[in-house]
Amino acid sequence: MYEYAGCLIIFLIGLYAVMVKRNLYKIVIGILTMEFAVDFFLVLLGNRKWGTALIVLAVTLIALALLIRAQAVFQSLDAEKMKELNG
Amino acid sequence: MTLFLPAFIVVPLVAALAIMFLSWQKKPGAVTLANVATVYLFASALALYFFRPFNTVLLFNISGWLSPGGNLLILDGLSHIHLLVANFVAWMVAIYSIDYMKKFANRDNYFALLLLMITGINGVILTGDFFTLFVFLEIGALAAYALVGFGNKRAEIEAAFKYFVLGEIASLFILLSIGFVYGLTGTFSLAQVSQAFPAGAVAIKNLILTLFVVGFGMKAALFPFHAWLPDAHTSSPSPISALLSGIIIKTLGVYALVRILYNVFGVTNQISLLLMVLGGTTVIVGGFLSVGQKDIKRLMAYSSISQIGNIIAAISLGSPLGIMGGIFHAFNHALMKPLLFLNAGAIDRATGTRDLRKLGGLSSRMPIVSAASIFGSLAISGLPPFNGFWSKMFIIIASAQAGNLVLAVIIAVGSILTLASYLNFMKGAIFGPAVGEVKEATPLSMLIPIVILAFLCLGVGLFVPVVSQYLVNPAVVSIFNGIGYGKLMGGN
Repeated sequence: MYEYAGCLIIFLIGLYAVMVKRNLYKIVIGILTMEFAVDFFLVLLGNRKWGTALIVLAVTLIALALLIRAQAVFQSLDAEKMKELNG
Repeated sequence: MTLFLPAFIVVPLVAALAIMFLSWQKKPGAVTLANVATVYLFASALALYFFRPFNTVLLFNISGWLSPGGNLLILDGLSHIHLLVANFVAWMVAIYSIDYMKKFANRDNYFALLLLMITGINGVILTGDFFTLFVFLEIGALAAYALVGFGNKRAEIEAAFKYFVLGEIASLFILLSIGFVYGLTGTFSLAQVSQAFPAGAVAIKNLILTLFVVGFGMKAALFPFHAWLPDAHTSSPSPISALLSGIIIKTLGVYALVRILYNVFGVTNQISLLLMVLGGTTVIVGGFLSVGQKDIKRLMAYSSISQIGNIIAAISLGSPLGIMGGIFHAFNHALMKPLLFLNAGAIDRATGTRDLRKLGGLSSRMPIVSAASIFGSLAISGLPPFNGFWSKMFIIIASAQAGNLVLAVIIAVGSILTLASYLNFMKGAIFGPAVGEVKEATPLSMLIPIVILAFLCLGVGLFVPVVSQYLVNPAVVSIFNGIGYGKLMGGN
């Protein structure tokens, strides 16, 4: 049972990072942490599909591409500086 | 005939890879390839409609030798209506993009990403397996993030990043829920889960369904999770806004949710109530937010949120007429919202602005686009004889029949708010004194999809009995199979 609780805690740490952190890089790390927690959960349940690993790779690449673009366009990775739009 | 099914996924994927290869070799041909692929996809969806015996199900086993009984592609009434409209809009968008995307650098990559997004959409519509559903959902979503940020300026990157963060959290909630399902039943197949899910486990079922509602609700931009949508739809290139608003939020959000709720688990009362509350709130919030907008695309984006609320609220009623209204409204919205976004793109390209305060009197200077805008605006506001009128009327009658007068009033109010915001659009941009100047004429390749979509909005409105009997009713029948869906697939 402990391993499942561990998964939940890792997932919540990731969610906390996404919601609280102001640095885009840390937000991306939070998302990847959540992603690994869910993958770990699936592996514990006995899933042996490779799909999740490929998805994590693709998500990481898109995230890094967006970070590079954001750095180039905004000259910073601070979410507070992204105020062009008002959701 | 079943070999047509994997082609819906393989053809756009191969075409996307071929375009990347051609672009890498600095050879032309991307535009032609993309258009040929989308024409093929729509033509084969249409051909399957005529050759599939009415109200039957087509199955194709992707990997019989890998996982026995497992990974199916399934084409039934519900998937067919979505497949038809999704590939049709994709075709229109591909035609429109020929000239619209000329001003962007790197048009080849745009077409490759567009085809990848279509791969994801078709995969989500056809799959019969939770895990494959997730993979295609991610393919479609990742292509969508890249396309939203395609313009590469401040607003675009910000919108893409917001969409990325919220979309990924949604995907992870969905994957978490899929994990629970797998832990309880030991299988990923939709059909097998619908048979094997323990009937007594109501609490865990509600937990799983709530996670699915949160995940797919984020993808569909239901009210508390809608923050990404206006930014993403405003910042992306107009043809992509059309696809995002017309197709992506419906297949990745509503279609997948409806399939899982009704055909795999069977909806519970608590979940129906949750969906009804979320849907009703979304109608009102989206409506009020769209009224005061000055940016045409932002106005349309907020009205998309409101329409998604209509669809979800109608489907949550659970009665045949309610579900029929919901599916029909999703179908209609998939025709009128792309029309409106394509018009917005044409106006933006010709005048250089999307701000209603800087526009005016386009009716004499851009007659075709203006007429099409009026068609789309009247259709989405629910005025007869356009298609939106009928689906909204079905939804209101269905909620009154279910004794839910509050919902009926909410949807009527939402409809009035939609009318108000589109009157604002028509008054500001199309009628009135001429403001600003029209710098360039709209090319033919952009006018053709606009005109076709405008006439379809009118045509579907005029031939409602035909459309509802031959397209919408089969979808309602598949939803009402309920969890008998599993038996239908030979759920071994």
